[in-house]
Formats: sequence, structure tokens, C-alpha cells
Amino acid sequence: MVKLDLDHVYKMYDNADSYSVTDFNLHIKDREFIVFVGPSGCGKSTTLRMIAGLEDITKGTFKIDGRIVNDEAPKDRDIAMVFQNYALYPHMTVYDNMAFGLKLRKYDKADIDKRVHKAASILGLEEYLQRKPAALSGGQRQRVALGRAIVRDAPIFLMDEPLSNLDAKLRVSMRAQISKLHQDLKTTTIYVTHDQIEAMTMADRIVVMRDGKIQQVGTPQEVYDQPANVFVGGFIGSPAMNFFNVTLKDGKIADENHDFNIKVPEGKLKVLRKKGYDGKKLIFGIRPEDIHTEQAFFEAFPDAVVTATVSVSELLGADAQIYSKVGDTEFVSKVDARDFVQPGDSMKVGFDINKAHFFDPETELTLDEY
Amino acid sequence: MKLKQLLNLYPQATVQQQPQNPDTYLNIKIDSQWFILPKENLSPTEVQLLRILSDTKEASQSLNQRKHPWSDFLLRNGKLPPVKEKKVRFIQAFVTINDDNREEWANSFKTIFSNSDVCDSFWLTPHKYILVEKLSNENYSQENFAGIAETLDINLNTKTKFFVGNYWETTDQLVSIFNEELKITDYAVTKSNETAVSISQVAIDYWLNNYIKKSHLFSNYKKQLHLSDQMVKVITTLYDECGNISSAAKKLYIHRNTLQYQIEKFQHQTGLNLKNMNDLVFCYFLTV
Repeated sequence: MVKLDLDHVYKMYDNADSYSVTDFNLHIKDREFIVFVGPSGCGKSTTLRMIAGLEDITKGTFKIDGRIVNDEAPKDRDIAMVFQNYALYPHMTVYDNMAFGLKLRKYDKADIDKRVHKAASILGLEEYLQRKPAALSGGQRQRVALGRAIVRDAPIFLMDEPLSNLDAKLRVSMRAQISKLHQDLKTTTIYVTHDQIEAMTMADRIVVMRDGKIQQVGTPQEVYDQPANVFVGGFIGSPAMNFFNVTLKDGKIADENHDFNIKVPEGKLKVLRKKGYDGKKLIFGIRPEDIHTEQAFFEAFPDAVVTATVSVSELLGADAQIYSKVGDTEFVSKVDARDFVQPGDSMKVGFDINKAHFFDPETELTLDEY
Repeated sequence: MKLKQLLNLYPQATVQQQPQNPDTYLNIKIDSQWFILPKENLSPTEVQLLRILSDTKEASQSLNQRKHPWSDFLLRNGKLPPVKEKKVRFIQAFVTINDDNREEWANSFKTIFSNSDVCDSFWLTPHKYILVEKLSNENYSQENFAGIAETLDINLNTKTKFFVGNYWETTDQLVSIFNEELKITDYAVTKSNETAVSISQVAIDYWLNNYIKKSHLFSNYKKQLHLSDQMVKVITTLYDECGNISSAAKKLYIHRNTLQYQIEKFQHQTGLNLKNMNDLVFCYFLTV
């Protein structure tokens, strides 16, 4: 059993005057698949490298099964790592590539052989062991990179954007392979990515990061349905959540020019009034799939209907993504392909306010109660 | 000492044009030849006496020149090694490491390369390793070196940072090029947190620091513009995306139109148009 605890962890580089990672707190359960997700430079790789021991922790503690390991060398932490730039060595065979780390650690030959064959069997690479990387496909090379980690037989796996150099189709198939591998090997895994789709499809829990700080920790469903702030709401989900600057007045939210003026349902209105937002500005967020074009919706919720001008229409097969404008605000809706409209046309849309989110305009924190 | 007299005394000795491994042989230079004697049958007193009477420093220097011809050429005014390769590059590794592990690190690093690609490698200082690599079809990209650093560090308890040089033609100019690459990396090593960078990525900052920042025009521009953190991010992202507004907007997580608006506002305030490549590069220099 392996659990990991990061308590008030900070990282400041020697040549910096601010923290790259600030007050990072996370407790990871045995065999959990945790994904750190966020934009480039948000501190997710730095945090992973602190866990691996490749970067020093400036402040705070990192424990493995209750044991503080801040000062333990990477080699002694029983961690296997898959790097973004896994650099297969072109003059070595697949066997030697997979065995390289074990040779550096001075494992004996028989042990190396046993481990390499076991990993190759798990990854379906046995018949390729004597080939050189140039003779492998992209997916096979990726599996060799995974093999380098599997041979370590470690209870903790760290993966730093392992799929970022692959094409879209290969990324999809490798995602599934990594998820299956996690189930078969039963390791505690921390996976870093900037791709929110990878995070949503692979994680038991997601850690959303920005500017070195945790924005939210939760299951994929939690971060999607209950975003803690504007950043999480906009980062998770594709296409991204739409945001409008509005004012709450007389039970309705309206933009500055009153291009739309939508009634807020009683439950949400009560919460906003209780928090003192009556007559005040808000950020109103709504996902593209919660904007409707069906006549039945217009009839059921006439106070939630606006007229928009279509800028761009993208037909995706079963769905269409419509980029429209209400007043000065652009938004995107995801509708049935049958409701496809041409650019330049006007279009009626209905906002499902029951599914919408409200945020404070200063702090950008959620005002919703779940 | 006369060569003939020594050979009579030590019939097991040989006379050669070059010295042999000083760990197992005693090498004494006489005229332009080397008197070479296996150490195994000599007493310690004999070895010491013969050493006092000979110039062993020259032996080890000469041996070093043969083992590290590039080190001799680059550092000690030696001749350009006879080379078949048309182009070489210098890979510099800054390594935080114990003395006990240095050779282990170096040997592990060298095994990552094909033998035929490595012209020479040597420790310039106790923590700086130089590898001279010829241009071939199997050279690693700069990004690959990040993975190599991580593999070495996680398995050997070291901290490695690579600076990957450009490929240069093998001429006498290499010495001055090598020396300037050394200066650039010595400057950049404390400034960059990346584990692998190319010289071209850090050279601009080095040259700016040494030359452009001393310009009055430059320093006044910097003072006058008062670039906000947000604007610095816009400029550096646009620069990284080669001026492409759509991809820059994506990287900044803002709408394309929002970025356009910010660019127009900046131009209105400063007269500098970030959609013009010269202005963009100029503004990028101001952020460095």
C-alpha cells in the first residue's frame, strides 16, 4: 500500500523572486490515478519533479507512507518515471533501451533479463526486443518508453505529458492503454498533462493548477459540474464554458446594453440574494451544451430566450458548433446538426439557467451552492 | 641517460614513438623516443629513481593529447585533430555530483551515444563535462537531452543541465566559437531552470546583457514603456508563436478578438505594432 502526502509544499528557484509552486496540499490514496492539469507554466511538472526528487522542495513536506522523503535521493524513493522527452537511444535495441535504467542502478544481468521480458510481455513487445527504435511505429516506441518505467517494478508511477508528442489518433489509443496498465499493475499514478480531455477520461481525481496554485481538486464529474472558479469553468470542457458580464436586478440577469435579459430560477436567485448580489455585477457562465435551439425549450422557458447573430457555424456530423454574438459578447453553443444555421443569420437560443454558474466578478470564485 | 645502456639493464623494455599507459608502464623520453618499461617487475625504489631521472610530466601530457586530442586543440593551442567529420557540435553538461560518481556519470552519458559519433569527451572542470559530437543521422535533438538528463539524474542521484551547441564546420575557428559558447553557458546556467537548452535559446539574453542593454536608447525605451506583466506575457507569447495571433490567443486562453484589441491598444499607446515582426522582436528584447 502506498499513499502520498504533500503538505504546504512550495518551490522557489534560486534565480527567482517568486514561488513557482505555492502552498500545494494533496493527499493521494493507494492506487489512485491522479492527474495534474493546467496550462503551460502552471507548476504541474515542477510539482511532479519535486515528488520524483529531481527538484528540491523549498518549504513543506512530502511523505510516502508517512515517511518524510524531502531529502531522499530520487534513486531511493522507489518511483518509476515516464518523461515527456523519453529519447529512445537509436543505436540500442529495444531490450537495451528498456534495460538502460536498471544497468545504471547496477542490477544484475539475470534480474534485468527477467524484468525486461516481463515488461515486454505486458506491453506486447516481446517480438520486438532485438529491433532498433527506427524500426518501430510511434505507438511501439511509446510502449518502449512505458517499458522503461515498468521494469522498475515500483509502486509509484509518475508520467510527465507522455503523449504530448503523439498525433491525435495515437494519443486516443495510448490513453486507453495507460488506463488499462494502471488497472493491471495496481500502482499509485500521478499523470501530468495540459490536455483537459486526457484529464477527464483517465483520472480518478483531477488537480487543476494555475500559476503554481491548486484551483480545485475533484473527480472529473465534480470539476466539470461544480467548477470552483472562472478558470476551472473555462479550462475544463470542450468547447469551453461561455462567460457573460451581467447585473442581477429584479430577478433577472442582463448585460450592459440589455441585449439579453434572462430570468433567474427561484433556487439560484435565493442563493444570490442571500449572498448580497441583488443589484450587483456578476459573471454568468454557461456551457455550450446548455444553450438550446429546440422549439420545445423556447415554449417551456420563454424568459430565457435571446436572439443572436451567427458568426461561424461548424458542422461536426451529429452536432454543430455555432459561434454567435449577443451585443458585444461572443459565445458558442453546441446544438443538434439539424439546427445548423449559416453565418450572418439570426438565431433564437435558450439558456438553461438551471445548469448555469455564477461567479463573483472580483474574486472569480463560484457563488453556487452544491 | 643513454638508451643502449638502459636496454642492457632492462632487456624487457621496449623503445617506441609514443608513451604507454602510465598505470602499467614507466615511460622515459630520451631524445625523440620513448623508453618503455613494464612496472610489474620493478621495485618501488627503482620506479622512483627512474622517475626522478626522467621527464614523466611530458609522458602524461603526451598521453593525454592522444586520449583527448580535442581537449588539447580547444584548450592548449594544440593542432586541429585529423577529422573525417565535416561538422561537429559541443554539448556542455553542468553536473552537480560527488567526485566518486563523476566517472560513472561520464561513462553512462557516453553510452547513450553511438561510438562513432563521439569525437572526444572530457571534464573541463569538476562539474562541467564537454562532449564533442559529429553530425550524423542519429544525433539527439535538444528536447531529447531533457529526457537524457532526467534518466541520468533519477538513476545516479545527480543534477544535470545540458547546453546543446550548434553544428560547426571543423576549422581553426572552432576554438573561438567554443570559447564564446562557454561564456554564454556560464552566464546562462543560473538563469535558466530548463534541463536542456540550445545555445541559440540563451545567446540572445547573453548578447543583450553585454551589448544592447548598455544602449541609452534601449534603457530609455524600457523605462518609458512600463510594460505590465500582462503585456510582457502577450509579447513573449506572440514571439514564441512567431507572430501568429490565433495560436497566441489560444496559448493565452483569451479570445482572438481580445488579443487583437490588446495589440491595437498597445500600438495606440506606444506606436509599436506587434503585428510587425521587427516591432515584435524589438519589444521582445525589451522584456528580456
